[in-house]
Amino acid sequence: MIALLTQLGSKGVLFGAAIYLFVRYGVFGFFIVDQSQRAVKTRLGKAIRRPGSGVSRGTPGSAAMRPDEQARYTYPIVDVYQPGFYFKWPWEKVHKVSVATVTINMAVDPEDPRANRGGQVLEAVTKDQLNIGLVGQLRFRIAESNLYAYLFGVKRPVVHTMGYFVSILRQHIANFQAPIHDGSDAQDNAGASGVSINDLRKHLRSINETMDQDCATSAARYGIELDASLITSIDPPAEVESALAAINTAHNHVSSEVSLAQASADQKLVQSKRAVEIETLNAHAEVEPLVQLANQLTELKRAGGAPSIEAYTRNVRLSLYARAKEAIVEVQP
Amino acid sequence: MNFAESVVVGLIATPFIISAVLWFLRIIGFYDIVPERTAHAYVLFGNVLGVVREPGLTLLWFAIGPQALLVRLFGTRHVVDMRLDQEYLRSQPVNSEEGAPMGIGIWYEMFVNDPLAFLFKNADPKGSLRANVSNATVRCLSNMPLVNMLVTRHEMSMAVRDEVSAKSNEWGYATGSVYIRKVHFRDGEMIRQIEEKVVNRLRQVTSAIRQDGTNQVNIIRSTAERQAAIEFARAAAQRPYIVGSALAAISQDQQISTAMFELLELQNLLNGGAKITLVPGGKPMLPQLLASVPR
Repeated sequence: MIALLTQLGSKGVLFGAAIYLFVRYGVFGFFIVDQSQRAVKTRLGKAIRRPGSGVSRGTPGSAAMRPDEQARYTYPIVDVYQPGFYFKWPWEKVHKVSVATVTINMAVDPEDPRANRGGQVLEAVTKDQLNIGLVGQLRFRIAESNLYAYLFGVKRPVVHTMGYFVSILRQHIANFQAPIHDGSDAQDNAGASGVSINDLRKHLRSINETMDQDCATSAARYGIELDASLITSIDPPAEVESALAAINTAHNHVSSEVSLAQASADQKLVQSKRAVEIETLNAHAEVEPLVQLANQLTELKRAGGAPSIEAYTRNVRLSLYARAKEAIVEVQP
Repeated sequence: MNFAESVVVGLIATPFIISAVLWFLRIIGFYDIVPERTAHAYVLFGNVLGVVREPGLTLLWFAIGPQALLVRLFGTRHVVDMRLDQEYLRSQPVNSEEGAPMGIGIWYEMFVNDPLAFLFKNADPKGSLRANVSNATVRCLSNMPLVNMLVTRHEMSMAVRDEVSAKSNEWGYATGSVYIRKVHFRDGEMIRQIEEKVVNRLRQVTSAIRQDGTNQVNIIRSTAERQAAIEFARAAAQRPYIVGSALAAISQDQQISTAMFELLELQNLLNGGAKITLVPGGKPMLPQLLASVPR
């Protein structure tokens, strides 16, 4: 070998080796982290820790875990490379991950594609023991704050996250009871108590929000941050669906009947109020001539005294004589 | 061979030489690289020389002694993956206290916490843990009241975890979190009956809504009737009140009152169009009409 090298010309071989080393470890040593990516370097197999940092107990969500869980899900904080242009030595290896948000059907079972009706509907049992189907999506992204867990700590982080999410969701559905805020709600619940499907559908938004809160520890556990739980529909069996539809129909019918009754009642009340006005005006119309005549006679009396009234009355009586058809007149013998 | 050719030889030979040198150093046990969450166990002639759990570069001559020279040639290096793993056991058959056939899906996490125990104490630690979890699920969660089985999932998980943890730890396989991922009915007839129960409950609710609506309508109607009756009565009383008040005011002066009514009577008599016969006032009329009177 050495003789061969000598024969070939050691300078040329060394130059060739230098070129190889420069190209392989110099030129190809540079790497780019894209905008949606983050990177972690391992040096001789060991992930480079962030200087001065401890373990991931300070990761968002870790405080919500029980102490025994915190002990299990403890990972070192690694140095994370943001988007940019970097260099690595030959004994270093770069692990890139995409931190873009990913959406996945919540019924998907990564280990068994046939499960949950081919990954379309997630079955659950409600508090009143009814089988229901949940349809929706799960939105998540790799947690930049706990990349060690995602890259090195967990075998299949997405499988863990899905399993964790589904377990929490089914537990929540099985325990769900509608909150009672005020009297109207209380009445409604009293009417529909024991019908969880109705409550679940009415509180779909709060269920999604509760799931977001309950799964906040997933970043500390598996290095995957749950962005949103998006349950879009809760489907009961067909017969129950039909009975629920009948409730809505009854609600609409009752609302319509109440509206009609209210309108009719309002009409009657208005009519009665107008009747008072009409009668009042009629009475005033009847009284007005009397009042005016009395006022006139009072004025007459004030002006001419009692005889003037008498005279006026006699004057009016003259018209009676003019209209008389017969008159029996007494004469003095 | 000229200079250019020797450069090409250098280019081609260098990666091979580097790989060969590194391979040789590894073969003689000079160094080893342990990745994150991995343990390397070195066994020579049936004896465990040591376990390296710290990730990074390890100089084996210092870590496990001079026997490291032989371990890669005549011994074995076991690589143990210590990452968090999981398994889901679907539909474990249990019966509730009431006798309802139920299925429980249990999901659990596990990780290797003692590489040597994991390698040598149990031929199939994963399979053994699976069997233990399955058995503990059926044993601990059978004969629970149905309501508790559906609702108290955390307690159920803890019961299974406590049951299996001690044994699995002996095999170097620690049980992590355990979750009851699914509780379901295995009997189709029971599912149908529950649906029927819910449907009946919903029908009751529908009837209650209808009845409540009818009651509301009746209350609205009767309230309106009552208020309208009050107003109509008030309307009927308006004429007596207003006319009476006016007449009471006029009657304060008796002469005016008398004159007014006399005038109104005369006006009505004149406007009435009746045949009017005048007779003298203040005297009986018939004696006046007699032709003669007895003296």
